[in-house]
Amino acid sequence: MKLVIRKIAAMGLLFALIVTGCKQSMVISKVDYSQSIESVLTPDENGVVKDVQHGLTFNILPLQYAETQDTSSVTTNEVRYIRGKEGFYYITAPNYKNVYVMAPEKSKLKLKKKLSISETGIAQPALNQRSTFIQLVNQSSGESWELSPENAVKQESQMAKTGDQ
Amino acid sequence: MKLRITILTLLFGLFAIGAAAQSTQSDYEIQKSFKTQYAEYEQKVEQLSSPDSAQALKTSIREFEQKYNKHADLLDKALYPDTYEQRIEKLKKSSVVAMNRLQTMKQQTKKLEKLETQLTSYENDLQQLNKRTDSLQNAMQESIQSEKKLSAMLREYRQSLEKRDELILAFIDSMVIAYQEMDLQKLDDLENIDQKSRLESDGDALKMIHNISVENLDILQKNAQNLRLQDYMRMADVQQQFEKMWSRLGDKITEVYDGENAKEMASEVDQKINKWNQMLKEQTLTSLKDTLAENNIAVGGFETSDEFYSSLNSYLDNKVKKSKENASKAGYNDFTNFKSFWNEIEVQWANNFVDAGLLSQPQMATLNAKVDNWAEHAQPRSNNLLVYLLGASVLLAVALGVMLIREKKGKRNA
Repeated sequence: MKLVIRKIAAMGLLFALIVTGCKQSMVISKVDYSQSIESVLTPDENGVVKDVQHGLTFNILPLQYAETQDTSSVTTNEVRYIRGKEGFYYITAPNYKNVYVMAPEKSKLKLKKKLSISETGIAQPALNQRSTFIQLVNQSSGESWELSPENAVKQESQMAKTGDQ
Repeated sequence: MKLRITILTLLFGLFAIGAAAQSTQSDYEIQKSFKTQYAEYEQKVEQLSSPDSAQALKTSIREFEQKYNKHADLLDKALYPDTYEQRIEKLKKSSVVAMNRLQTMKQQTKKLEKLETQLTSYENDLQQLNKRTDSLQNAMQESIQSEKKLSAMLREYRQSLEKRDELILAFIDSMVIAYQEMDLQKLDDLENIDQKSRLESDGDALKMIHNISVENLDILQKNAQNLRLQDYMRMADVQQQFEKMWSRLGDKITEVYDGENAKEMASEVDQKINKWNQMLKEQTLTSLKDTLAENNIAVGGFETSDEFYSSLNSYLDNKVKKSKENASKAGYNDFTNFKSFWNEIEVQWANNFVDAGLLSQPQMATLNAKVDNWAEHAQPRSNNLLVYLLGASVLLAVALGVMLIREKKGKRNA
């Protein structure tokens, strides 16, 4: 009986080793996802924006709802986004108060962080790729923020403005 | 001291504001603005119309380059797979090419303007000469009774035609110089940019060439009786030069023509030149017949250039044969007449005969050889030998007589 138990245990161990060996996947590290220049897109009547150059299509209505609590119609004619080094998408639009940091997943973009920028909204936002961060610029006022997946720091005053989800 | 500090603070403040403004530009807007302005510059290069505007654009491109130099890294990414430097170089190069092209075009425009002035002058001169020849022709018809007067007028008329031919040759020279080095592609560009730069129809070369071909044909048709071999030879020279010029430059001249019916006119010029050539050949042969008859050279009849050669050939063969058999004084006169006629052709018109297709080079050589052969046998042989023999006989008789007399005297003395 003991011999049988030992045999079963040895076989189980061997099986476990084989299975774990097969499951090992290749990993490429230090991938830089950064997009050099932001994409400026115009949504269609359903709120869908299509970036042919970067092969990305999504609907902005969830963002619009988060911003205005209204999805009855598309309220903006311009959406701006840029992808950071880590692969997160920074999305915003004129007069939005927040920048949305979205993580790409299978067939979806999942909100990682909502970076609150201004109580009144940014009239003319622009996103620039910088060596260590994403820069948000308000073209009408000349203000700028240093964005990371976790927070937004106003560059002139060096004041950190962290938005909550 | 306080003032200095205030000024420095102000300057620092201004610098800080400038730097902040600089750093808060949108990359997207920068590259978009660059691409838009670049496209505008490309369009401007295409639409350049003068070397001055090209120079101004070159300066503007330099400023454009200076403005975007600081964004070179960003633009390298935005313009991938091209680079910012490549794009700027391309733009600069196209502006230089455009400027060179416009400078060449400007030079060609000047050439065309000069040609236009020349053409107008030629046209005026030709018109005057045509009027003169027309009036002379009318006067000749009116004074047909007075032979002396008619002869003088005829001479004047032929001189007038000679001047006209000289003028046409000068015109041909001008055309060749003006059009030979002209670049058709650039002329097309010139046309696209400025329609006015084309020759006005009053001084247009094609129109003038068309007119010359029509008038020359007309002169040939109307003046068969008034022209002589030397006139036809000179006209053949003009015709050959004209035809050569037309075959070399006809396409260019047609291309530059301002009017709508350029192809029709060019086709008419072709036809007129062919007819002119044909008619000139026919009338030259008729004139040759008259000249031979005037010089009492009895060659057989001929209607074509081949028949003309055959007649001359037979005539010379016959004469050479007769001279060899019996060189007479009459035969020698024939030779002198023919030699005089042939010398004129050989010295003055040999090339024209060949170019006009009346005689080929080998045919000329054959006839020359026969004339030389005739020259060897044409002179009648003299009886000099008989004279010498007679003289010698007389001298011998005298000498024998003298010797006989001396001998007799000697005998008597002995």
